[in-house]
Amino acid sequence: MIHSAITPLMAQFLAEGEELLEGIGAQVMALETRPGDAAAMGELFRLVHTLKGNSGLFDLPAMTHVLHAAEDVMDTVRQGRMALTREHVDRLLAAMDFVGTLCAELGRNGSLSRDHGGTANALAQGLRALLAAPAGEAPEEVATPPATTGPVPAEAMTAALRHPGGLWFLRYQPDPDCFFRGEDPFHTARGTPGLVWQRIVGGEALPALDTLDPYRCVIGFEMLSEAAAGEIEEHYRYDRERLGLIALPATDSGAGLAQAVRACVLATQRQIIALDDDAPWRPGRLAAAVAVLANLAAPDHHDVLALLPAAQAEALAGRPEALLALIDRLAEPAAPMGPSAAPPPAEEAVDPALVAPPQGRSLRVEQGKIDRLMGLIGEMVVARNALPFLAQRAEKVYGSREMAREIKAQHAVINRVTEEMQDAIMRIRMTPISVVFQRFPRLVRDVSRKLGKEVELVLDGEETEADKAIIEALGDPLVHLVRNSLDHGLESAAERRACGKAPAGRLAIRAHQEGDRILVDISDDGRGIDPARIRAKAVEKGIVDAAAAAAMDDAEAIQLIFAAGFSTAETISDLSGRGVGMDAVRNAIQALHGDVLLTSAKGQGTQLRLVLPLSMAVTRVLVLEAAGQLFAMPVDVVIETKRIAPAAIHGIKTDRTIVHRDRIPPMRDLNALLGIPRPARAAADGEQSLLVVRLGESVVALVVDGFRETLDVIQKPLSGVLAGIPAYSGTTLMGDGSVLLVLNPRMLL
Amino acid sequence: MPIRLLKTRAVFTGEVRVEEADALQAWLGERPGRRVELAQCTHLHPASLQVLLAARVRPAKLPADPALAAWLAPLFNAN
Repeated sequence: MIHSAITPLMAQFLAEGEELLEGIGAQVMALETRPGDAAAMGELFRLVHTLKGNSGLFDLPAMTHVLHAAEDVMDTVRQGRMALTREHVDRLLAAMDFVGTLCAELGRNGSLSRDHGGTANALAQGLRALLAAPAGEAPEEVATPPATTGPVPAEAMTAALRHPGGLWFLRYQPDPDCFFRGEDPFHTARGTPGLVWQRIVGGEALPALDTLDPYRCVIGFEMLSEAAAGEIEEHYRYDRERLGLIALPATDSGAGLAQAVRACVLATQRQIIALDDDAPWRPGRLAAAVAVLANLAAPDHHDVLALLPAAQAEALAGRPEALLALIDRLAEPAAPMGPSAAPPPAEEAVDPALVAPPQGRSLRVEQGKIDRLMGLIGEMVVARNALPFLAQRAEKVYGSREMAREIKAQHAVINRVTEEMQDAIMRIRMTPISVVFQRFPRLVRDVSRKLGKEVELVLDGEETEADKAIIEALGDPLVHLVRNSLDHGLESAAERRACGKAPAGRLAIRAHQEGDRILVDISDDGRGIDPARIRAKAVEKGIVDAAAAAAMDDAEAIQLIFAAGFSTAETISDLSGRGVGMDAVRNAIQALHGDVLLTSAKGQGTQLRLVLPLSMAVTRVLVLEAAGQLFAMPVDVVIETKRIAPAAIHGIKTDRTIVHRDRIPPMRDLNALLGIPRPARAAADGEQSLLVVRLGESVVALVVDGFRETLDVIQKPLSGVLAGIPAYSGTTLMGDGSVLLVLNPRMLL
Repeated sequence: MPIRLLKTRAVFTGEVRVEEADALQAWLGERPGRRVELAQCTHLHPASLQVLLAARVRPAKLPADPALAAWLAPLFNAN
């Protein structure tokens, strides 16, 4: 059971953090045995870098501090400026254990206690001491604990008396620096659900106007709310640690109100009796006051009732003390409420953790169970696909057309049900992209402030849904792209003004669905990518030679940023530019069967489009024939199937090409690509079957023997020795029980 | 402009955002006794509110917006 104080973002961070820590541990151990392993080092660095970046999304100074130190050490080792020793490994592992402890505590309590700062500093200093030139970074200041505790003030108690039923007393003391994060705590406080009483406190603590720093939040907010605790916590989910919640149990509202009224009435009578003017109506006034007292005394103060006439006579004679003493006696059982009266005793504070969290309307299911269901459906689909074959056999082998028709009718029914089941399970796995998007406002704000840039973030299409696995895997690449845009794309305000642009840059992240794909666009109106600079850099880094770079047009040249080992950052910042570059982004997206498209105009901005499938579970494939075998090609890369006469095939040097929609795609034999020494089969009239596919930016025409139907299949990954063959992405079973190999078009060429 | 800073009074309209606080602080500090009008104000960023509280100015009228008035009334009455 996860505590309700943990936001979905935090839960995701913890889940990812666990994986990352496991990965880090494994890589560190691997490095200890094989110190020179550059790939393991790169991977280790990437894992720590990601974990540090993620931790920066939360107010976890202790964790970020240690990770930052660890990252610096690894970067030095990775660049070969220092060798990894046993001592390094020990300290790194100790640091990671500490981070693991913090994660566990976060998972339990939803927040960290404040006393990890010392350990964090010690660990970070230990790590930094390993560096030849220790980075001179001051330890981050540990925030003072918020003043959200303390008893409920009298004013709130009085107000609470007027409201029947249980109430929550809220004391919200915003972070002093919260204005710099663009927060408006007053706005948050005003939006508190179920507000019945409110006030602003701390105004008296403000310094004089001339020494005031208005951007340091000093004031706080006190409120009474009749909403449920869950609702309140949901409202303050981003600032939960700044909020004190105290339950005020339901008072017997009638009694409470009666007591309040009684106290008010007694205080008024006291004032009336204490008046010592010599007005002619004084006896009448006194009589009225005594009558009121008599009424108040009647139910259960018979002794007072008996004494009242004598006291009235004395008061009339100018000695009101006796009467005032009687008022005190009447006031005794109740809390006095007069102007000088003390407040009613505060109710005992209830630990908000003890209050039951709101009942969820959804069911939390382990992902493995859903995956199992998905697998079973896959087998069901295979079994269903066998029915048409059975019908054929019934007709051809046993000669029963009747039977065949009945089987086909049953097939139609089972077909419909399995399709619906498949759809229903897919829907369970669907997650809105807002899970990923919700980290960006904070990220953009923090990063742009760190860089001293003004950035306006536009998020659109948060409700777009895709398979959970895809959405989760999308997180890291997107964060990287956004950081890149902020760091390299958008200019500073001064630079923008000089170009005649608005001082605030605009970064838009939009998601939408198009058919069975989701598109995520990240666009900025920054300086764009300079193709000349990219060419120069690519040549310098030895990614392409000078002639090849010069031959590229601008649109092609900017694609070079996706090449491995390409990084143009002039200075290494802690934001990006450590060389965990765009190639990692492209690889991550391609692993999801997606693609990254990049366009940019110098001086106007950069647009990146991520194209991803809605789900990886079901792939639509085109079945094709080559060398007497059946293969499947994912439909999303297929542009066209066509037949072409030999006369339409042109030769350029040793390659064959065709003219296809004003382009000249090269022709390749699928047989040759798969290493089958047999030419493709041509039709009787010499025509050849061509499958025109898009592979990244390029278009290729594959020569095959022929085409069959399209199928929705659930792929099983290749295992064992077959797992090492990249030309296939998986296998699936055909209806007749034969195995169909699914081609991986990106690895084919 | 959510705050119009006139010769003797500042008129707040609509939603007063964070960036107004600086100008308001300077304006109130310039000459004592300047007044503020909150009647048309619908929201006040706490930065500006802190300036008002530190300057100990009392608006003649509370905001017409009842929700905002409920928040501000005890503050300025006690001031």
